[in-house]
Amino acid sequence: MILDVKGVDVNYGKVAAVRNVSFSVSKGSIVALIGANGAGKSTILKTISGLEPCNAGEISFQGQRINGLSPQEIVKQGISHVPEGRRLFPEMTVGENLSMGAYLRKWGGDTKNDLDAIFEYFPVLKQRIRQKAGSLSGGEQQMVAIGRALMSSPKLLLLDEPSTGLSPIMSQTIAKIIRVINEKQVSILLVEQNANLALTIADSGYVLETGSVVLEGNAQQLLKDEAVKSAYLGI
Amino acid sequence: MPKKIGIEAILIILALVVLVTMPWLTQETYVFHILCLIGINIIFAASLNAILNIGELNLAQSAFMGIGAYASTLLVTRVGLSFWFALPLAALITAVISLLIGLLTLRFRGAYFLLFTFLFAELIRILLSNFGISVFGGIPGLTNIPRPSIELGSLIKISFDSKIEFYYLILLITLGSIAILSRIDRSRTGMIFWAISQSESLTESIGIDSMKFKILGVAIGCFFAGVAGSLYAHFVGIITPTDFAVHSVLAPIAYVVVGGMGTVFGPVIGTTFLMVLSHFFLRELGFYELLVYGLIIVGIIRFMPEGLISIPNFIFSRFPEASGSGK
Repeated sequence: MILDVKGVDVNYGKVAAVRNVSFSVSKGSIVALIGANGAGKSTILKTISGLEPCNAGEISFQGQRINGLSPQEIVKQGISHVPEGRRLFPEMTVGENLSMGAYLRKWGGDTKNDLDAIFEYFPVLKQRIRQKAGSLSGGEQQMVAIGRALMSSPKLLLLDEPSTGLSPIMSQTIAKIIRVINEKQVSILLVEQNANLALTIADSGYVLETGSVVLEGNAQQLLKDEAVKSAYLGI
Repeated sequence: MPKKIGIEAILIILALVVLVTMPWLTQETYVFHILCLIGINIIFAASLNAILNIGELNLAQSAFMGIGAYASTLLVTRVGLSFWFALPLAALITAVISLLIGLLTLRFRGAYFLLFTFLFAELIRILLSNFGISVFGGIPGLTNIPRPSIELGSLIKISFDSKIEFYYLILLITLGSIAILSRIDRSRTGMIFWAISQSESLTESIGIDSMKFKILGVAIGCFFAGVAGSLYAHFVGIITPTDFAVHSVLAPIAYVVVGGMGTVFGPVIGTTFLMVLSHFFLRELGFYELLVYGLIIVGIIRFMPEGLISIPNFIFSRFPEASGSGK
């Protein structure tokens, strides 16, 4: 297991956002967390990357406890977070945004290779390298956000709602690239409202409702599950 | 970051030639007096801008200039140091004090940071006016602050008594300060300051300790406020607590905004433009001076929200390249 989340509680003030959530991501796999708005999916990602404190339970990465560490230390260990809503530095160019992602590394051969790999995943970014990130289309911004996260050379990538606000075709493109990234030995934890998209590319999935895991299993089985179908797939 | 254009380099060289040959153009004492004040204000406006770069407005910036001024004066008159050691030491003292203040206040953002720094500015003014009067001189402040001089052996002695000599000293230190700030701006650290001002939470999630960089940004800004303070004290010769009260930060804010926030040369252009305007051209208007001055500032902000430094873009945008404009 590359990531193990055990009995985690997260409270915002007195309100419990996440209650006793446990799940794990095995090395080299894609795991989807699905659920409606407010189910606590984004909160879980923020807690893993150290942006929100965890009130109970334990999060371990490669067998080592990481809850309580600062976001910087967690990035250094190899977890990279693509926050919700394609968050970029809008005034910076595409190239500058990407280089910010490699902040903790020395610029040199390795980072150049990673940059080349990102341009292979997203050829359009190479043409846009000098353009301000804020002027790109939604899909291109999502590509920059994912690219920036990859520039820290992560072992685990946390993706928060990568398909939000994108056209179905663009969502499919992003989904395909997530698979390609995964084939390069990057484990992925994917949070999505679009359960169909998430479960199609994931190996396993967890369904969250009001802060708790209510269902878990193989992604293919979840896609066929009657409860999931009616609640999240609109079938 | 602004793109480098050939025209920019030519303009800078032209400005330098004019500045260096100034004494051959005029001998008027008033002109050199104002030019010296412009230099000091440029350093101060640039120091204010250095903190704006991390997305915060420091209302205590004049108070830090005051700390630099009092520290430099006391180092010369009480400790007996020469000006050449007192200036960097005073700037360093200012930066160290700002580190402590930064640790306390940078947890607050926006309006809270503004209020906290406002309080700090008042605190410094009240302390300097009422405490340690034998050292700080109380409300009348400190007078007879000596001008610097260089003595190398018994042969060479340059004293900076005349305005023209002091002008060259200030010119040199101003150019040095701008060069250092511009170097920082183009460094990785400058890039991170810029990132923090755009989105602090995103900077954090990339794995950057934004607090550390914000404190560094404040310390850099206050270091140069200290430089400006030391120069001011030894140039004017008299300092009082009200010179550095909170209202004295307002005009420099206008310099920064009119010139162009977040750029190294914006504060330089803004300070020069507005100070030349008010000291050489608007003086004749008497009663209407401030009215016209205010209208010009409002006009620039209305029609050039990115400041005078955006004039080239203004012109070049008629020949658009591939570059897109942000939303």
